Amino acid sequence: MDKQSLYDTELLKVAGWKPRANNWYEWIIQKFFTWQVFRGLSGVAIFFLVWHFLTSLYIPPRFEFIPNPLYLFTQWISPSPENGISIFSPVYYRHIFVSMARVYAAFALATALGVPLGLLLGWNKVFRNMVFPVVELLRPIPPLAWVPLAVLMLYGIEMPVIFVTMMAGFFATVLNSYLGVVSIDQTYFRAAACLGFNRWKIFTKVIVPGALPFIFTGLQIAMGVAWFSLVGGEIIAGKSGLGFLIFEAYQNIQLVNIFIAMITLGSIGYLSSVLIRHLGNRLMIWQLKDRG
Amino acid sequence: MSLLTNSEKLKLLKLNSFLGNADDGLLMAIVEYAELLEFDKNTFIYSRSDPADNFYILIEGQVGHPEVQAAQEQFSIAQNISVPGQLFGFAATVQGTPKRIISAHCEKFTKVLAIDGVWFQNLCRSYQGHGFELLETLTRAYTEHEHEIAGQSGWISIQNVGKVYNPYGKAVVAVKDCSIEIRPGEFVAIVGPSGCGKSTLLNAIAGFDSITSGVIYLDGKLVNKPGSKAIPGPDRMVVFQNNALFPWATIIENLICGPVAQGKMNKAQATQKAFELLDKVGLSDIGDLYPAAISAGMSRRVEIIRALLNDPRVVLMDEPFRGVDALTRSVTHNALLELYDLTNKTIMFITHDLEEAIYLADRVLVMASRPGYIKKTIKVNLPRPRNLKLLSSPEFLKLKEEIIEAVHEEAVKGFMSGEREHA
Amino acid sequence: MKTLYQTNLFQYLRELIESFFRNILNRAMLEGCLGLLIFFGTWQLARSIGLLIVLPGPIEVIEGAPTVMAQSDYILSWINSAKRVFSGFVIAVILAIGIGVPMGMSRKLKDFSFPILEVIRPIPPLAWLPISILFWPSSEMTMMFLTFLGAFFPILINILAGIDSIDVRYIQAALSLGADKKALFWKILVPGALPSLFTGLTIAIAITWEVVIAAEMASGDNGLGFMTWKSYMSHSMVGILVGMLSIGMAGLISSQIVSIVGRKVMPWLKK
Repeated sequence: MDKQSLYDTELLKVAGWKPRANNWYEWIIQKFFTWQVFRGLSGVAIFFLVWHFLTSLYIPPRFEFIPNPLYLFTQWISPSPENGISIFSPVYYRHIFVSMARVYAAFALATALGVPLGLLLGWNKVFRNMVFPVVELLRPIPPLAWVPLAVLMLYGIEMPVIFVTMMAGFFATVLNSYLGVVSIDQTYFRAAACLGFNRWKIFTKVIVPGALPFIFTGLQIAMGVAWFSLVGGEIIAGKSGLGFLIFEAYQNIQLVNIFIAMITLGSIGYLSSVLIRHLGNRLMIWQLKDRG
Repeated sequence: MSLLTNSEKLKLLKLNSFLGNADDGLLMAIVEYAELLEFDKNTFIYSRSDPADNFYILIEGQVGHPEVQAAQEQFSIAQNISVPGQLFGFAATVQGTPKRIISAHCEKFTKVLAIDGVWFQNLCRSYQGHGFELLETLTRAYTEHEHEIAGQSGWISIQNVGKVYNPYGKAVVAVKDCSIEIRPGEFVAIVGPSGCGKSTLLNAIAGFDSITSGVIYLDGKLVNKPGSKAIPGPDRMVVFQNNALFPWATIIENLICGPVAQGKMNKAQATQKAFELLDKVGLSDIGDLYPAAISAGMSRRVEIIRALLNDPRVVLMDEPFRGVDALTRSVTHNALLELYDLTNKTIMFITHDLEEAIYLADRVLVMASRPGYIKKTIKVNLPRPRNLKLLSSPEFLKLKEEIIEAVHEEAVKGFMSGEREHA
Repeated sequence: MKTLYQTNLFQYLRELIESFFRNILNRAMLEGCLGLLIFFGTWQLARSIGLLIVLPGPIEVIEGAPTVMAQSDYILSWINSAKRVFSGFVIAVILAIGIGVPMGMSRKLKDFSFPILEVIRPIPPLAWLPISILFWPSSEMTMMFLTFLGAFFPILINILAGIDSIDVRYIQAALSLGADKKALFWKILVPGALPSLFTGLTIAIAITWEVVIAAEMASGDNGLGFMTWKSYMSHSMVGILVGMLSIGMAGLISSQIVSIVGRKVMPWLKK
């Protein structure tokens, strides 16, 4: 290394900045081979070790119901699982698909209905005064409390489940979209008036982009809550899906399946939220979240 | 020079449709003051670019406005004045424009009554409601189109404006009895301590706030009056204190959205013009960046360009360089002055920095606080285009002294009463 | 001649009446009432026309409600559900603060524990139900565990966010004023993180109610959720609606309690 770049690297080290990665493998090393990542992985590893310890070597009372993580893993990847569920069994994927379809359908509905409503509530004062009390009246009712009503009123199996899942996300999107509009600095509205925007232009060019960060927060919350309510809905009224799988496994005392379903549920839920967050970051590139 | 008796003059005045309805006392005052003048055929009573002082009422003869005759469209100004009692030459005088915009040419031997415009204005104002109405009516009748012929616009007339806030019981007088006339193309700075009502005035002109008394005119059209809801519009463009560039659009999109939305230009034209102006202030390569990526000084300049691109009648600036450091400020000042020289728009500039006010403006108005009114007007006679050398010239320092004296008293008053700054 | 005291009283009363009318008769209130009226009106209309076969109209609900509420186990349901919510919530708060504050203060600890918590967090509490039933000896403990799971994560996330959001300049100012670790903790960290903590508490209490109701519906034998479920099994629509509205109201009351406590604890926050 010549003197200049040696100086640069030393300087960067002192300042605490990382030098820019020159190629893809340097980038991977920089991003994934840090102390932070190492500690995180150790934390996870310790968790699994403790779990394994408590379920194989020294089993405290009541822990006999919890399967061994190693056993879990081998069952999960085995082509002929004892309990019928593994990555090789098609029924596993059917459950996953059904749950995902429900959640995404409900989520799409909650967004399509909730975001426009929330934006409208923020935009028009009269509308807000009229509709807000109704929303606040219905909002505290937990989504799962709608289950009996939904089952009795809507036909079929899918509709109640999707409805209940949607209700959860709906209020989150409405509230957050409303907050998004309200959070826009008044100066922008004044500037828009000076620029000669008519009402529609103000809506498309000021309100929608300005509320977008809050809208995406609402979408993330809605996604999380949707998975939450899905399980409840499936338990009570479903005949397929991951939530149903958990209960079927419970009733048939297939403990392994319970765990596999739970972990799958958690992972897909997590990935969905990450997806939304990344979508948001792409859409809102003006926010410049991580600058060098 | 033939003479007329006072009663003959009074009769003549009453022939005029506007003055005919006025109070007799008012008319007598005019009669006492008015001068009788005679002009030969083919002479000019006044030419374009003459100083504007009097307006005239025809006694006999015929007067024509060549510029109006040349223009094809119909205007509220008569092309030919031949009926006794008709009034002409009004607009320029009442606005206090230094020069005439159109000329008056005698087609025949003409006799007129000459009345000084500024005196007339003061007279009307002293008559309060009645005289006000008269002034209003005359203004409206005579000034709407004159400037459009001449291609200049942006005359702001603030007449006895007052604003009283009423937050649940306690009445706070923010502005009281404020009168300002800003001529087209003039750069006026208003200085004063924080919270003295400068922003209130600007908001009233811009249409963000209402006023409780007085009227505000822009180019003869009523912009704000008590009781009616004020509407902001693209003819009064505001440059705000804090960043008002939309953060979700690129710089170029921010600049062109105004003209494009109003339909004044299409996207390509607007983009080209925007780039031209960006070049002029030295910001040619930031077009595709987002506002979060550029510095404060740059964003201020971009906002000024955005204001000018919209082609408003008047640009209102509310302490726009407040958060900018001194070095960047001088660059932005020069950018603003360059753009001003280029486009010659009327600018009303509010600031608390006295040097900035003197450096940029043609006229500096010192505003007192609680209640707000114009305490002092100082004319800045420094030559244009301004350069930084002027900052240390003796004239500049003299002006600064004058202003400091006027402002300091108010600043101390504000400090003592613990004013909360309207950041 | 009126004494000063009398004049003041008169003034005060007049202001009180004026503010009362201003608040009741102002436009926003009227529009809100109009909105509610339209909502209930349309509902009742749909029922009267015959569009809603199963769902009873608001008038029927109001008529039937007293019968439902007069049943002996109505008040008891409230108490039982509230007990569960309260105990699960309190445990969650204690543990969340106990884990969250050290995590917030020590970067290393946070690096260790955050990933594994992030993996566990997305699993909905209800999915834990079968395991809890198998693991915990009594159904009460099951429900407390579930409510704990529901409330724990939002509070933890918000505590971390709160500690993160404390402006480093406050810490610098405190240090330059000579604060030691204890003072730094109690005078800077705690007040700085309190607003976010209370946001987390408001979210958590709503989730806690959710989980309690769901658990009661699935495998309980008393409580508001169980009561609603019972109405469902006996096809008493009015009972279902009364149950739903009671649950909603209970949730609202708890959120309000949290808000009020928050305002008392943080008097410096602007309204």
